[in-house]
Parts: sequence; C-alpha cells; structure tokens
Amino acid sequence: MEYLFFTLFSSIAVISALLVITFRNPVHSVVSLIVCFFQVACLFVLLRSPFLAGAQIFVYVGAIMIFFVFAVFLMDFKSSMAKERFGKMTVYALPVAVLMFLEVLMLIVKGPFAKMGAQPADVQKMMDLGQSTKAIGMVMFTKYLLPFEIISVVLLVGFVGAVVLTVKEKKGE
Amino acid sequence: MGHAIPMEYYLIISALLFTIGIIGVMIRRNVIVVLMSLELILNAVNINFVTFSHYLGNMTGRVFSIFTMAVAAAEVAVALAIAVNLVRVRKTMEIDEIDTLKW
Repeated sequence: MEYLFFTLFSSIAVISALLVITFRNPVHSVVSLIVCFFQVACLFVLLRSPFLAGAQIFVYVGAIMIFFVFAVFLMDFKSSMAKERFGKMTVYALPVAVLMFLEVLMLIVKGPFAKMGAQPADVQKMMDLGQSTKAIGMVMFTKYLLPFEIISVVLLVGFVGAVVLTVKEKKGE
Repeated sequence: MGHAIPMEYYLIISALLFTIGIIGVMIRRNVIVVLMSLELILNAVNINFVTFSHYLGNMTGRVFSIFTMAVAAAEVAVALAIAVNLVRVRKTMEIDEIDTLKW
C-alpha cells in the first residue's frame, strides 16, 4: 500500500518538476511547481514527519509561490514568451546534468548508503506521528537554539532587504 | 511492521528532482524560471535531510530542513526583489542579455 502511494507521489513530483522547466508561460511553471511542492509534502508524510509536511505547504505553497505569482504579474512576460525558451548552452548542459545524475545514482546504489542497511522499522516504532513533531521541538529549542535565533534574524534581514530593494526612490532626493 | 520502502528510493527521487533543478538553472533563459528551479534544488535537499533523519533515527536532519525552508524564504524574497528591479532597469527577462559584467 505504501509503495502505491510512494510511486504516485514521486512520479507526479518528477513529472511536474519536468513541466516547470519546459512550460513556455511562467504562470504555468508556477502552478506546476505548486503541484510539485504538494507532492513533496506528501512524501514527507510518508517519511513520518507531518509537521514538516505542514510547514512545507505553508512556507513553500503559501509564501514562496505567492511571491513568485506576484513577481510574474509585476513583470511583462508576454514579450519574453515569444522568444526562445532555452539558452545556447542547452546542448552541453543536458549531458553534463545527466552524467551528474548517473554519478549520484551510482553513489546511492553502490555506495556506503546501500551497505548501511538502514532500519526504518524500529525507528518507526520509537516515534508515531505525534511523537515526531515533539521530538523536532525538543531538539530545535535545546541543541539548536542559537541557529534558530540566527535564522530568525536572517529572515528579518531578508525581508527588510526585499522591501528596500523594491521601493522606488523619490525624485529629487 | 516496518514500512518496506528502502531508503535508496527516496534518495533517487531526491537526486532526480535535484538534477531537474540543475538542468532548469542551466538551460532556461527566463529569470523567474531559473529562480523556480533553484527552489526545486532546495526542495530536493530537504527530501534528503528528512530521509536520512527518518531512516537513521536522528532528529537533526528534520530541524535542518526547517532551517533550509527559512533560508529559502529569505532567499526568494531578496532574489525576486532583485529580479523585479532588473526587469525594471534592463527591460528584459532573459539572463543571456544581462551580460554587462562579461568582458
């Protein structure tokens, strides 16, 4: 049963990711990316982390993709849509990327991860769904408290920077 | 009763999404689509974090994937602001045509 859902989610994720980079219209790409993020959230549920699935939907679909939608609306993409989608380097870039994927695949299948023989069974027994969120909180607010505080400052600086960058300068100042 | 999906399957899906993101960054000419491909890459990294966290029974991976999401949000905010300004000033969305720094 879990295999069925895994196949469903992962295949839709990969197909929609492929559509993101092939659609001509950026708005279609945005919608396709939203579908991809939803599927990844489903994969997080399969990986027994419901909090991350929720955060994925809130942060990526709710915040980041809305940013993208507004950015697309702010720009004039009609003129760009008529032009060629892919750059001149596509012929060289594709084989390099495929080669990289094959290397990573070999690392996964033949490398140390395959020999590790990770056992999800007892891990799963250790934490059912509610426990997982609790465990994240326990680790985040004790061991990683300082990075957590720093990340909030990073977010603040990022958003202030975005506002500063987009505000138009007044004439005569 | 453990679930039967091996860890490698998740890693392969993550590698696939990562590669698609890399391809998108390299071949697309539209600024917005390049930024979206970057998001795809960050998301693939997140899947890797959570997979290892789940299969090795260590919560650190999940905490770091939350950090990745926060950094991705900040990055997108700044990057889109820069992109909007770029389009406003240069009147083009094609990254091939923005080559003033090229000598």
